[in-house]
Amino acid sequence: MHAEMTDEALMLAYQAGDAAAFELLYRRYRSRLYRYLARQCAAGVAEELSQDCWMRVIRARTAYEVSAKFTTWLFRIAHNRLIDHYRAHERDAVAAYDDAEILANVIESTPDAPSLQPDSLLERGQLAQRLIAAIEDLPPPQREAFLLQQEGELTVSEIAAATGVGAETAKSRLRYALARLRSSLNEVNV
Amino acid sequence: MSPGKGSEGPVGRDSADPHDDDLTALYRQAAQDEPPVRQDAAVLAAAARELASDATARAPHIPLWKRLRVPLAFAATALFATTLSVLVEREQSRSVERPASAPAPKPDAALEQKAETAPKAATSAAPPADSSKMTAKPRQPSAFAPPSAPAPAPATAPAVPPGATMSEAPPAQSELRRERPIAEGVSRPEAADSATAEAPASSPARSDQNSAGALGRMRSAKQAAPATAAPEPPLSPQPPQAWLDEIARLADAGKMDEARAALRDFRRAYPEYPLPERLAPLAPAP
Repeated sequence: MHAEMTDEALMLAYQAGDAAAFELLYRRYRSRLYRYLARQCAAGVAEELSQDCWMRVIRARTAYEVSAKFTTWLFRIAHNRLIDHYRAHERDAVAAYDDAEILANVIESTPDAPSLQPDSLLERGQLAQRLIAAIEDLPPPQREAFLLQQEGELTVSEIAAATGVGAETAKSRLRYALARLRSSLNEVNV
Repeated sequence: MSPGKGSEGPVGRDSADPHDDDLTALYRQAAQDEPPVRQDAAVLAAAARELASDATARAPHIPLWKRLRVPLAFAATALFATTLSVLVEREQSRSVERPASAPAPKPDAALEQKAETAPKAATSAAPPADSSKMTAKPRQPSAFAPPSAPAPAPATAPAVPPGATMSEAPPAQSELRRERPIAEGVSRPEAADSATAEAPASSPARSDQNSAGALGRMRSAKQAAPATAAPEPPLSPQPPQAWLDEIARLADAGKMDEARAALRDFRRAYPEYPLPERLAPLAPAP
């Protein structure tokens, strides 16, 4: 019965006391949230942050209202927790968020990277590993925008809502991230 | 599958969103990380624990006044009942004290005083058999026979000794019972006669004075049938006319000293009462 329920309905069911609804909700997003965090900090920290995010969801259930998609709400919690972590341990990452607008404007004028030629592609597994490394090399705001699109399946406006920035900023970050990743993969190919 | 398409085309939900299908596919292939199982256990346990604590926490969320409503109601009821019982008890004790401390003791005191004097008078004064004539207070002279309306002398008036005075007022009913053994020498018919004899003289004014003993009189009136016609008890010493008749008899018998003494007493008791002409020479000078 729970399988057909939307995320928001499951959260409301949990709010009403249905533990099974929460379990299903958790199963849906446990990996995605973990990966979103794991791509942006060390593995041990990601585990701690991920668990803490879910605890916040549990505690916030009584005040939960369907004002946005559940995933937007969930990843906004994760974003805030990540920023707290950056403030405590990675000052440079926080500074990168401050510079992100400048960087995004620079990328706006950057031409698209050439598309990868299938013949020159490395083995697919090697390329995937390269992509992961390239993601980790991205500046934190652009990296987060890309991860929110991939793991959270959020639109640009939802990314903007989750990260607390304007839609144009979110869009710039995302475009920059995609261009940088493509460029990185092409460099490997070359 | 080639990740090299590289275009930011309208692949996503929003056509304006930058998107790269090749990168997405490649990312999904590369990103296979999973959270540790211990996190699953911890999170799910916490979720269940929070729900359980909700159930227990909901009960204390009832406002304090609602939780204490029943005990407070019991306490208020108990307090009200206690207060009420204390008030009622206090009021009862007050009402018991009131008759004991108010004018009522006066008759008692008068009765006790009479009880002391009664034995002296028992031999000379005829005690009234009619208890309807008994009152708590000694009779005032003006109440018995106002000078303006002297009562006619009864033919059957009992003999009154010269020593009988106002202080020898007949006792109240309870006192009478005590005095009966003392006043055995006086027969009941005589007393009844005296009661009937003095009735006309004292009836109008005495009803006011004897209102306190009205209940006792009403009760005793049923018992003493012959005296029911006399509404007033003979509390005064002697009816003036009977007294004067007695004095006249003493004078006729030649007991002039006794007659004068009795007349003195009479004058003390009835200073305004007109004396018959034949007794006037015996009267003390004013």
